[in-house]
Amino acid sequence: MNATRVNAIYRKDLRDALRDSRLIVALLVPLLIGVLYSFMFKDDARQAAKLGVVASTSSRLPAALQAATRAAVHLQVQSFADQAALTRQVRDKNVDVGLIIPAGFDQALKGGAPPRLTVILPAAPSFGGDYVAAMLDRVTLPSTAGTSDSAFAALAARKIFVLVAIILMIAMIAVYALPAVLTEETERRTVDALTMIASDAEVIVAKALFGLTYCVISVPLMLAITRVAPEDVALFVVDIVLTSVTLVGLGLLLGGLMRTQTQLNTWSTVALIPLLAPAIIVQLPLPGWATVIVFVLPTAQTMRLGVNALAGRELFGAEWLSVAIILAWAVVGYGLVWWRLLRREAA
Amino acid sequence: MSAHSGGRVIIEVDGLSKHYGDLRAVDDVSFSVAEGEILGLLGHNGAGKTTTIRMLTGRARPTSGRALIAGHDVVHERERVKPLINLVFEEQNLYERQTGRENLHLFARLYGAPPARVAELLERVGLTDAASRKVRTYSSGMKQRMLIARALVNDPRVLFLDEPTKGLDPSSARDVRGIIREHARAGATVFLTTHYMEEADELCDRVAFLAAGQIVALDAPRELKLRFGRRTASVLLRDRSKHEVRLDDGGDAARLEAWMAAGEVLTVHSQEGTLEDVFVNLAGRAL
Repeated sequence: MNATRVNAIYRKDLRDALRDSRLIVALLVPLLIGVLYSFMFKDDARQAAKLGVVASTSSRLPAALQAATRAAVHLQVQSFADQAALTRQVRDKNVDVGLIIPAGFDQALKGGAPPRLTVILPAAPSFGGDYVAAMLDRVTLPSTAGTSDSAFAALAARKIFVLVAIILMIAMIAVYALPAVLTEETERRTVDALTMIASDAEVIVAKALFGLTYCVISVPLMLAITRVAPEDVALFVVDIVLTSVTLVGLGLLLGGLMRTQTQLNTWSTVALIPLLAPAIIVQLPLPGWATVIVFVLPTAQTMRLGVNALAGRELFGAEWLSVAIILAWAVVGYGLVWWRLLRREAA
Repeated sequence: MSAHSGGRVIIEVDGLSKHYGDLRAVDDVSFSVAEGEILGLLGHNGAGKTTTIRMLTGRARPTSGRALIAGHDVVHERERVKPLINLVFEEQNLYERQTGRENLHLFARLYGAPPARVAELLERVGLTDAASRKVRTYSSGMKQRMLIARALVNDPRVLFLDEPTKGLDPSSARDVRGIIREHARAGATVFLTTHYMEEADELCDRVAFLAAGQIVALDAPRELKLRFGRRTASVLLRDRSKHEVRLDDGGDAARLEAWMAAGEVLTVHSQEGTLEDVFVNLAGRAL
């Protein structure tokens, strides 16, 4: 491996990319989406809502409701002496939703018995009242701590969507921009001129560096423009670097398989779906089989680690497993690229 | 088949074959080329010319046989061979979004050539004034000259050219031939494929005819024409009638002799056979 040759090809690719409108668009589209999301959603655009509670004994339910609705509602809790006072306040719209919590509610919930709970809503409930009432089922069901529900509730929608836009950006660079560069070299036979002196491996390493550079420049750019700052910078860097390295490996594989730009345009779109979709749907309740499929895809793990990094706490558990899954994809991607190189050498 | 007399052998090919399934693209080809020689490989489309170049430049692995360049095996010692050779591709595979100068600088860096080499080459191929323009604005002739400049960046001991004047206008083709000749005069070996018989005749010290993957003749153009060409004479008689006679044909020769004896001949212009004739004779049809 000759570093001078790798550097020469890498610099050529960087210069060429700045003159290639396809690559500029591949970078700008996710950036614009990120900026758009950033404007559409605010960090704290939550509506205020008031929860009135009548409880004869102490209960964890109001606190659990506050946590569960945190993403959308700033929920204030106020205690009332009796049901009549609470009903009056709800009717007068001083309180958005009222709860009558019976004695022994928490114990009954723990014991698995369906506890009786009285909910008081006005004739025309507010958004906050409706939302809190809708979340009651989730809170009173068996605990699901560490799942996407609580994780996404803890993070503002703006940050979530900027994270999705970052993943889209890395995916666009890795499975569109990078393969486009590689396929163009193959289609125009310029790679044959390079390999008159450079090795296939040197060309591939230069392309990988080019892809990673694009990611390394564009992700901080997105964060700067959208003014999203991760709470856990180290974890965020690990997440983005791992994901970039992995997707670049998969992009090199895709670019190596494609012979023409037309083929690439078709297949890169197909490849984008399993990379982008998990980032969006990892938060949603899915059937068991779908959860498993989404879970083993690299960008689902990017999203989980990214959410943790942005929130600064482990909202999604088993971070080591997320890292391991992304790494496993990297090994598969680069392994296949290496295998193809060996086959080319032998041809 | 031996190398051109007098020179040290730089390309040595022995029993080289390349098969794609049942197709024998190149079939047991052997020849050698001397240092400083210009060898032309001629043949129809699909005769195996490009496959031969691909094997000699290490871009295709032979099915059997071997090829040495400057004593190094092109398959097993490819890294040693690479700095010694270069290739002008049939396709104009330049980086079109880059300028001419940037294209050459890239390859100068890849080959470890000094930056001054770029200016020197641009001057040599007459592209100094266009060096700062993007290659996509170049004419076909300019791109071809740029391809040659790129292939000369490492001052190769063996320069391969695959159809170097294909599709060029006569003036550009002449420029390209001039550059090739100049490089050979400087002591380098040139190995080219071409469809153009006149070009091969004009440029090459020796030509090899390739048909169905095999070399059917390899010699200096003049020798080939003498050996396989049809020598003719154009005769103008006193009665102003013109006749074409084949000198190798007994009947025609006797007829000419009779005209001369009778004093009927006004002018005689003898013509040696062309490479085209030789090729038709050997390969069965014209290029």
